[in-house]
Amino acid sequence: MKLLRCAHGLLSALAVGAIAHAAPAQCPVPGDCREVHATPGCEQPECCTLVCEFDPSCCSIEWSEICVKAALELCEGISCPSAGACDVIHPNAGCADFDCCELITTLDGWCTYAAWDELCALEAEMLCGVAPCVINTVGVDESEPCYKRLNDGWGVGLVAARIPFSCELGMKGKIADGGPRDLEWFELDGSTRRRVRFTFEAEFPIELQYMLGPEDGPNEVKWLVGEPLCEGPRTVQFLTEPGTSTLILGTGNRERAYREGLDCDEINPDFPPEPDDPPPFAVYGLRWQMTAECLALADIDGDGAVGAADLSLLLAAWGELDPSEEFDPRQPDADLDGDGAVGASDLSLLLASW
Amino acid sequence: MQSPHDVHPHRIQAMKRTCSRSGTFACRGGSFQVLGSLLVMVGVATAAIADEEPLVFNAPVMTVLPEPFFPTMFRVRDIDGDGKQDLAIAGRDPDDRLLTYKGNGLGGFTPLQTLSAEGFTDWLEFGDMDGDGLVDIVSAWRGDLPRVVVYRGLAGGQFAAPVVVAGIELGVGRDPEGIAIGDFDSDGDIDVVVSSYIGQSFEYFANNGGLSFERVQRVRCAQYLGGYGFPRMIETGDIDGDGDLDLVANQLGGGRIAVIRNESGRFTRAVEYRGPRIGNERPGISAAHLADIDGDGDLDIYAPALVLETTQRIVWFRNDGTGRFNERIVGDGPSSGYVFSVKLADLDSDGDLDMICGSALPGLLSAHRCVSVGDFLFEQDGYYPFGSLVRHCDAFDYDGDCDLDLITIDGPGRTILTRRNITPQQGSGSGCGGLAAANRATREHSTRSQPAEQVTNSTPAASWSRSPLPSAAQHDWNEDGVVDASDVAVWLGSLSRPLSENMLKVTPAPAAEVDAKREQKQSTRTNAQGAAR
Repeated sequence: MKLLRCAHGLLSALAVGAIAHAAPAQCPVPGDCREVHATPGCEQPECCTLVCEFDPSCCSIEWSEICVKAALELCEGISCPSAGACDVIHPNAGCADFDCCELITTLDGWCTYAAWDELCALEAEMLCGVAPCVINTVGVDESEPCYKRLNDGWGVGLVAARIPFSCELGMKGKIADGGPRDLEWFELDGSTRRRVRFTFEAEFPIELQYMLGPEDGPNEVKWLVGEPLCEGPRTVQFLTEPGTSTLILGTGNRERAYREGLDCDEINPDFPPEPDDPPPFAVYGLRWQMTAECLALADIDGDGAVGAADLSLLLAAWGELDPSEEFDPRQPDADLDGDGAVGASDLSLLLASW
Repeated sequence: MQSPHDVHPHRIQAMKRTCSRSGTFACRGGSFQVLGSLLVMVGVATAAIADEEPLVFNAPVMTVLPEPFFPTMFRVRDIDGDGKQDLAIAGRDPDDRLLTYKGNGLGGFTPLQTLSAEGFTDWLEFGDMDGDGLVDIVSAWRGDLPRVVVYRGLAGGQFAAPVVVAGIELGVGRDPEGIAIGDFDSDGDIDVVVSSYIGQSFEYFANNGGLSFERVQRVRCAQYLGGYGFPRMIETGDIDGDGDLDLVANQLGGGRIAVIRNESGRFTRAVEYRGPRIGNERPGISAAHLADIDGDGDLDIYAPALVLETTQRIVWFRNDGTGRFNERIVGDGPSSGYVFSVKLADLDSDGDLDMICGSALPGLLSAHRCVSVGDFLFEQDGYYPFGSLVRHCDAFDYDGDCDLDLITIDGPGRTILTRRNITPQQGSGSGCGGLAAANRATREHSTRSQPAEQVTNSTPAASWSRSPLPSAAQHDWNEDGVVDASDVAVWLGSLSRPLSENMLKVTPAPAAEVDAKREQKQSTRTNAQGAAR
């Protein structure tokens, strides 16, 4: 689908008079579409189809230089399947599993035209074989069409805004990819540290990051996680930092933000689609929902009370924290005062709210 | 073992300033109180002299590089040991080359060696990567199969065939652009950090000796509105004063600088600072450099601030002594063109840092004399038209007369331009232990011996007009939803071939919100590819 969309315009321009030929019957067959070979047809199905529609002899006589040239022009970005396991780094674009290759190259253009690097392999490991899901969203709608930039933090010449936080927040909305990318920024500004818990569920792979600082900076991503796809609600619990801070929901993983494969599915009335525009295309659903709640500062396990279980967690974490270790908001955070160590001061805070 | 520090120009400047501390009062109002009253009086007198003496440079010397090489940056070093400064030049070359050039000590260069590459190489550094006592060149090949490579130094100023020290197996990052080297883990050898232009990250490779590298860490750029950050250059220095080498980088697409602190051999997440609003604009930040601008003993950051509507600016991100840069001071840069490169250097040996800037559209090399450090105030003295995009400028003493001369490149024009510094040097203790001042008479003689028309200086800024931006530049290259100065910075940074006449004749359009409809039709991948090339 993606490939046909990409090549449609070029094909139309090049294949005037040739389209009338019957669809080829030999796609796919062994042989790389980008290399000359004596047999007709080639192994990348959609590329094979495109080229043979343009020049039927490519599927009836041999895959000649003309066919290769047509493939290079018509099939830009067509690299599936190609040599190499999808979960293993290899120097060519694409990978052997067609479905997985198609999915990953749709989400990550680098994997289509460059090399199958560690990010491609990681994405294949995380996403291939995982069935998309549909969630029934509940909560207050964010009231932001996915073609608008209303809750996307700060920008130049744009309405810069964040979704205000409250202790009993339940919201739903959509995000979209592409340019510009749609995100959701949740405002967590405050003068003191507080413990909050967010639960997210989405139809797309979640990239979640907690960023400190105001518009002019300094800005620092305190932590960043990527949540697996379609494994139900995912919870993060953390202590906010004093000052300006923001929780940012987007699509991606902990290594990379996705900017492809999740078109906004709403029509922008200012720029309605033209008849020849392809329909919106998304490999995953765009919807998300979330709840947020406030917990007591010392409620380390988040059970709604400060008690023996929290004390146990605090004592288990006693001592200096390793600054090189990534903070994981899915694990208990016992550094209540944020001084980089779990010690007497934290114990005092816990006991004070017992 | 060769220290990597000596390859970094800001350290050379710091050394020069250390040699010339008696002159540090000029333009450094904040340091008066530490001097005795007599010295203050002398300082005031010297400052007055410094403020009045313009920066003067001799006639330009140009060296044209072979077609179709598109130079992106250079490093200066005496490669062949003849006592004269030579060049290694990175670039975007369909013929896959890096170039080294031999200096003649007068600003001219002749080919020394052509090094093979596979793909564009936007950056290189000198360092003894294998610990054999000879300086090597480390670079990164961009393109579809990115790699970090080392060209081992040989005797006689030659370099061996490249050795790939990190490929995709080690996670070299997508489209590596900038490189920084240094002993980041304090184990005695030189490690490498590269910026991943498309990957939006910095990749850290530790040297285990014998050109065996391991990938230690990826540091992602912070998020800004969901657009592409496009990290470009990296510099190293001890920003927080803890004794190890930290990183500062710029993001072309984000209009930001990133500060990445080294904590015991591992890097923290990037702390990012945005360029300040200038008028109604947010500037594009096309580079980031380190220097102790105010002489307070810590490294500040300065960056060219490309703006569309007004005079170009330079931003000083002032270090508060702890490695934080909340205070931003804006100084005037070139009054024409779009500033892309900048270098602070003490060009008149008065103890403060003057400025040279490289601009685009029109290509200009300009020299700005420091008038007040605290206010980051400069007076533009020299102004020289040069090509269409001055991608990189630097200051080195290539003629051995103990002051800093100018070396710069025009990317589209494939040209190295040098100008000898003939500014009367201030301060008895400045450059080379006072030789700069002692050589003044020689330089003045040299100046008189030049035909007057060859000394191109002090062209009135008002006589210059800014070339219209090509329509290609006016596109939401960083995909943040607006077309602004950052996009122009990305566009300039992505050029790899000469600007055509047709491109320059396009009537400019004002910065405006991007045409959403066009944007919807724009393939993200195509965009990213285009920006990367």
